[in-house]
Amino acid sequence: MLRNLCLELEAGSFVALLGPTGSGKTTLLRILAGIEKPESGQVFYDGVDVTSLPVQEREIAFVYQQFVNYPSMSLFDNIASPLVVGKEKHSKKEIRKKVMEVAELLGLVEILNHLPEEVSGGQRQRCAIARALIKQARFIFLDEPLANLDYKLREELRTELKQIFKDRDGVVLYATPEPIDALTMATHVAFLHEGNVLQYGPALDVYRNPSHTAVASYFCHPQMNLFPCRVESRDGGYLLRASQELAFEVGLNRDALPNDHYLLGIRPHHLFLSDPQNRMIPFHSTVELAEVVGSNTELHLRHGEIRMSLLMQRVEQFPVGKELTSYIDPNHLYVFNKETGAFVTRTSNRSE
Amino acid sequence: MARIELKSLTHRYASSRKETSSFAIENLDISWEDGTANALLGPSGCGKTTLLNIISGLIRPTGGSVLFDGVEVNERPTRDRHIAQVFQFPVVYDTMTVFDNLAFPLRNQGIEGKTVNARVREIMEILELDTLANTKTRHLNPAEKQIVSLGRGIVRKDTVAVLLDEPLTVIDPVLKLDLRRKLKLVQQELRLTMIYVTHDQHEALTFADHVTIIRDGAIVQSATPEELFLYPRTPFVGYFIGSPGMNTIRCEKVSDRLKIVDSELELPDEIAHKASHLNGTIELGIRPEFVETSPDEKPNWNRFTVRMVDHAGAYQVLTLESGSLRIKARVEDHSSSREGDSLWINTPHDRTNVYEDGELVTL
Amino acid sequence: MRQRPWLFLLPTLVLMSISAFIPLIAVINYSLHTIFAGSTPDFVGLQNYADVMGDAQFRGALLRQLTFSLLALLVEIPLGVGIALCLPRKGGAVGLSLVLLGIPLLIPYNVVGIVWRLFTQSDIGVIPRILSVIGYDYNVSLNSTDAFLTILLVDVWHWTPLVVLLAYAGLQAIPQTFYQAAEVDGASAWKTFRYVTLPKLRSVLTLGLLIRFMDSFKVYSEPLLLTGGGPGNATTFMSLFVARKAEAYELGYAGASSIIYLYVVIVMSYLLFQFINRSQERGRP
Repeated sequence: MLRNLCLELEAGSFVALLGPTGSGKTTLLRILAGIEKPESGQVFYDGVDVTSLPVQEREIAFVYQQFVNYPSMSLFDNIASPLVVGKEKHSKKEIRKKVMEVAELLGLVEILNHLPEEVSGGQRQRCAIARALIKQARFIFLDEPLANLDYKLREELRTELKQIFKDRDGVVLYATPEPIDALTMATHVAFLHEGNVLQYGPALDVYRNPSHTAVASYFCHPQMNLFPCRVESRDGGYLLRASQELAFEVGLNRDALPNDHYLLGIRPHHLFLSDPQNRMIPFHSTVELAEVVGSNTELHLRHGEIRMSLLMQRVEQFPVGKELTSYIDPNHLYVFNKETGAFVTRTSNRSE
Repeated sequence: MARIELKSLTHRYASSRKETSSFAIENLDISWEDGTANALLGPSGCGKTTLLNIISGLIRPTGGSVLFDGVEVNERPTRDRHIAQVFQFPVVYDTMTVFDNLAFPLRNQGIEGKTVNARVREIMEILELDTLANTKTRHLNPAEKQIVSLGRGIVRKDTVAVLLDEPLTVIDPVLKLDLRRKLKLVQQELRLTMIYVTHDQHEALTFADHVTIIRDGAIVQSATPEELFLYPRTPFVGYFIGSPGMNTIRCEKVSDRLKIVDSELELPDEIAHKASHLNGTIELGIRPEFVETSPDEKPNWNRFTVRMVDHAGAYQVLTLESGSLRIKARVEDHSSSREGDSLWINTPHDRTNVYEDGELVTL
Repeated sequence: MRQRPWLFLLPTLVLMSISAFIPLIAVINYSLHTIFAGSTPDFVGLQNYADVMGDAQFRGALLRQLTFSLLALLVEIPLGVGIALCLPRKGGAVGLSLVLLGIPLLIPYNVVGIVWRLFTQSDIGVIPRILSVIGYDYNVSLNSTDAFLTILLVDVWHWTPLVVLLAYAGLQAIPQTFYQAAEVDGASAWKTFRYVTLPKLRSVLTLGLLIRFMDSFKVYSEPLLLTGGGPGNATTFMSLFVARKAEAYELGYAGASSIIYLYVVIVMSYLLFQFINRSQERGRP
């Protein structure tokens, strides 16, 4: 499932392992934590080879998707459990102090006496996170912890988690299929695709400079639009043509574009329904669905064979089948190699 | 299809959950027009599934009436109400093919074979199921099964309405979009009366032309998605709809002038004026996307410090602080504001909602 | 410690060795020898097996057994499902009905045998008396058909409750939404049964079928106590047949026939299981 992975993570970073279901991120997370053993290869913590060290001896913390808590113990006891069970002895006073600290951080102080089944899903997950934090482990692993929470809770916890994991000494590893998690919380992103790490780097870098179509389209919220185009010679120059209406110049010499076909990428928020400054390229489109996502409307359009998403930063409804003129901003195009998916070039009118 | 109304609907029952002791729906008035796409939106446990069961006849309400096209149907058994339902978990007859599944309701009515076949083919075409006609339903994925469930509901021409109870729950994220598109398309084309129940505002606002938000058995607001977004009736709706939710700013009257609680900041005159005649607890609501920002000082704008910068791809969300007041603002994706920077903020009065005692004040 | 799981299994393995493996090996050993009282056993290889297979008595017992098991299944499974369908699903009556139904299951085999013997005795039994009222001359000790059917009846009385309990659990597991949908679709009671209930009971019924089949193949105490295997051979089923041979100290023969017996049960159960499984898996994506 995972092939030849090499990753070096810095102390103090919050690393998102981002990728679709089945890309290997959970497996990688579990191997790094020590829950599973790799077939070959090694894992080092602070330069020490821990590959054969069982997980109980690694002093790490792991948070699962399914809010794992001890059902018969109160939240207080749940949070205290790593200290009680662990190798070091702590006095009752010490334990109480530490639990209160962590409980305050996660807003659980008022419900510490309750049992997990008596509190909401969000609070249970906070308790699981508190349990992970109290150990002050150097390495914390989270496996899609927000997946089973509803929309608003996810939104809240995302910003909370970012604050909680700030200014730490070790490494936080967070596996998620949601690009927005990576964008909001992570300092670094490792993008996984079919068992390979396609790209790794500071989160915003990877986002703005994707090296491959897989990264570009997935690590984009909503997904980047990708469609094929062919190189068309014209007046001693050339155009990249995707359809009768859509043809673009990308400012490279013809020699830099040896192939006949390429993939064009454009982010949904660089498509518009109006063009006041008259600098964009218009095209006919039909509405397939207008999806309201948060405070935005994602308009799914069809232009001949090409399917695209247009992100409107407001809430508006459109009937299925409506015909519109849409506009592409040619200053935000990405060009990728059609066969390998590798990044070729991009247009921009200012550095991002 | 028909118009469905609930008049003065009341229902009381004991909940088995430990958190709420007994649950009540009190004096609910809702009407759903014939041929419209509707949603019932609310957190889990707010009573929306109960309402669905009251409409389909599985539960008799303790008070009030259920009407189909103006006729009271409280006494009518489920079988005779002709309400089609699509559940959370796909319900199909495993041992039958897609074709037979869709034909089943018609055959049970004793309708002649040729008519049945024609109607089934018609429905299969609209639902894009033609290629699967002879496949046994147990080989389909959950999304396809849900479409078959829906098909079975609409194949009968005397169906009054289609009730959907969180139908996308077990659907793989990759297939959700297509299913959503089909549901909306079918509703539009066949002009079905559909009531979609969910706790996910994304689903509700995407599907419905008309959304009713329910909380603790009572209606909070019933409006189009745009209205809910621009004019939420309570701060709760403002928070619940939209991401991030609406900013709520508490105010108080100090010597007859409206001021923000615990803050030195001045309210723009128009807003202070708007709320001047109000007497109860006053809150202002403004969505982060309507908060105007500027790195340079501007007259009558207030100064805030950037506390957090959250990237969301197409835009950024800044958490701004001034004293004990914190608000969020949405800015462009290439904004270069950093933590600790100063930013000047304006809250346009035409985008600011005023709430008195928790209710929107319309002026 | 990777060996830890094995340590936990050790006690069970030991017990199984004593009660199952060692006796099995002993029986195989017997089956390869001729044993006469007093003298040392003679190794005869597979001669016993040949004798058994060639013995018409053995083949008769086997056939009788198969017929019995088949009939038992044909009655018990549909009857069990039928009763389960009639049981209340909710409320106080549920516990009561399940307990009452379970009573036959709790009675030891030998007690069942003796009690039913009393029921069926020509002179004092209830059943002959009732049947004589409708003009039927019932005699379990003289009439082969009466004897066979009586043992069958006892088995049905004794074991149908098991099928009922399994089917009941299976029915409870069917989500209400399916019945709701069938109602909305205007399906009749029969159609609902055929298209909703039956498909969903499949796995539970498979279990019931297999358990009852294997169990019925072992029937022993009831025929022993009720009819003694008679009249003649009418109710001499496999267990009884083998036990008789062992009692007559023809241990070699008995050993061989029990090994063949074991083999038949394993093969038939396997075939049955495969048949049911394959029809369930047919064309799974």
